[in-house]
Amino acid sequence: MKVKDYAADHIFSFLCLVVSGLLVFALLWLIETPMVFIFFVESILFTAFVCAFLYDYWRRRSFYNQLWEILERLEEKTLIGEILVQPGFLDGQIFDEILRRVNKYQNDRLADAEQNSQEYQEYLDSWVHEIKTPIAAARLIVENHKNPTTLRIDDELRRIDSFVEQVLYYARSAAVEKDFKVEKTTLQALVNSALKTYSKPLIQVGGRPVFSGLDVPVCADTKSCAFIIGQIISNSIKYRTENLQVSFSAYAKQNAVRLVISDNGIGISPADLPRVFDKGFTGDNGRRYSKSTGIGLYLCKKLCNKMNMDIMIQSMLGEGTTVILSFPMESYLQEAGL
Amino acid sequence: MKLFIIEDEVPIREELSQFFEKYGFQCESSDDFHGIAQLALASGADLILLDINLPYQDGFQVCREIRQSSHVPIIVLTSRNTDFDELMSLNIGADDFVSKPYNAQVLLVRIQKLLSRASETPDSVVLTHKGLTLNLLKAEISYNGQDKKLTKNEMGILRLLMVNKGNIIPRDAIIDDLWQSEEFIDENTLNVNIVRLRKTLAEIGLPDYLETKRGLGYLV
Repeated sequence: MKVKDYAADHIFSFLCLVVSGLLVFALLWLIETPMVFIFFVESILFTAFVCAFLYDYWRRRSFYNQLWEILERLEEKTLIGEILVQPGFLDGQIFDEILRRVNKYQNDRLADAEQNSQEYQEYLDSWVHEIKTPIAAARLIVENHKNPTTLRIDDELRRIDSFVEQVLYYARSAAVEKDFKVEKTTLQALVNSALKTYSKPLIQVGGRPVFSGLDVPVCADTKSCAFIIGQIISNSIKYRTENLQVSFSAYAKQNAVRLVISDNGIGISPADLPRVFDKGFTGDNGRRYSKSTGIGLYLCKKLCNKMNMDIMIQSMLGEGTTVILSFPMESYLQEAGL
Repeated sequence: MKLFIIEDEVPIREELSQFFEKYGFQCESSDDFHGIAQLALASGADLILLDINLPYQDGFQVCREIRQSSHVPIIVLTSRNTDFDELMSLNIGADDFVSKPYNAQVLLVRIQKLLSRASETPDSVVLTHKGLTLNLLKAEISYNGQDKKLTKNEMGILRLLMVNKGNIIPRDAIIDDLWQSEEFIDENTLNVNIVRLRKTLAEIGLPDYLETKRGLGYLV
């Protein structure tokens, strides 16, 4: 709180002071009081007013400055009502009481919402595990009775399974705790596991995986990484041109191993490229191929962030798309004490 | 070889039994989950498949109970595919962990691995159809006393067709089956393999064993 602002705020009081000073002066002058007395009376009047203003300014300044400082330092801003020291002046007390009540209401609502979302997430988690049982049963039935019809049902079951998997990772990506199990594996193993999941759609469009130099050891959470690679493969299948080819290669760069996944699909327009990781963003391709949800790459980005991995995308419209996943190198992780 | 399946979901239990019986395993299971550990031990099974979510007690307890008196191989099958479950299972003595929806072929391979480690002389797993015998461990076919070796891919194709004898298997399903064992072949390679497989079959006197259904797939 600055003196200038305070004075501006009390401009009316100051005007009253000046007017009353002038009136007193006029009155005393009319009854022919000596100038010395008038001067004394005016001094007393002004001193009293100025003292009152100064005292008031000091009280408010110390309260509001403290309030600002607390607010700046507080991490959970909505808890300010709990920390506040009650001020000595009336309007401050009223304001304090209102702030307290509003904050309490807000915090209750916040806790409710948090609990709801927590419960919802737990329910979703158990639902995902529930639904896996009938999927597993149905797939076993197909396994025992393979023929062209049941195998087509199996294709649909796999699609259901990959959607369910997406729900699981969506729920996980929002969770605060990180439940990743980092273990030693190779890029080839990660790619293989993703390819197995998306084998059927890839085979059906005549797609061909090409590998080069994937025998690189990395430390990663196998399931999450396979999920990410799977999402990228599924995009390559969705946005393909003829003779789909998905190639996987690797190279090392500055404490990281990079997995490069390129396809020869339709590519992404330069205008859309910076936004492909945004939630719900579908872009030009998404509009043309109605099946986009704008969730796949968003989840990839989020999972990568949680696992300290980098994901980058490059594309030329009409030529293909390249996604680069960067895994931190083992020695680097050790140095970082992870 | 006998398997004991501890699983409360009836469809899964039945389909698993049916699947393993095709490969010549005997399967047993029970609905009495109170004393399931004792039942499993009493059955004299060579390997136990164990679900985690069970009525009365969870699979971890059953696993502990079995481990107190036996070293029989245990594979945990579960839909709760959290890392905690996996670690827990392996810690209390399970030999392997497979999460739903599991690929039955993968499960079979793991069972075979565990069984061959557990017993000195593993039983050969064989498939027989119309007089032709396929030995899965040796990758050999025999007919009328004649033996022939097969390559890994050829055996994979024949195995898939023989397990589903009498049913047409589409080409993409055959390729997919080979992909699941990490042989990422394409249509042309499949053609080459089918031709070679036919030639081998003809050499031992079965020229028309593998039928082509135009536009649909293959059939034995």
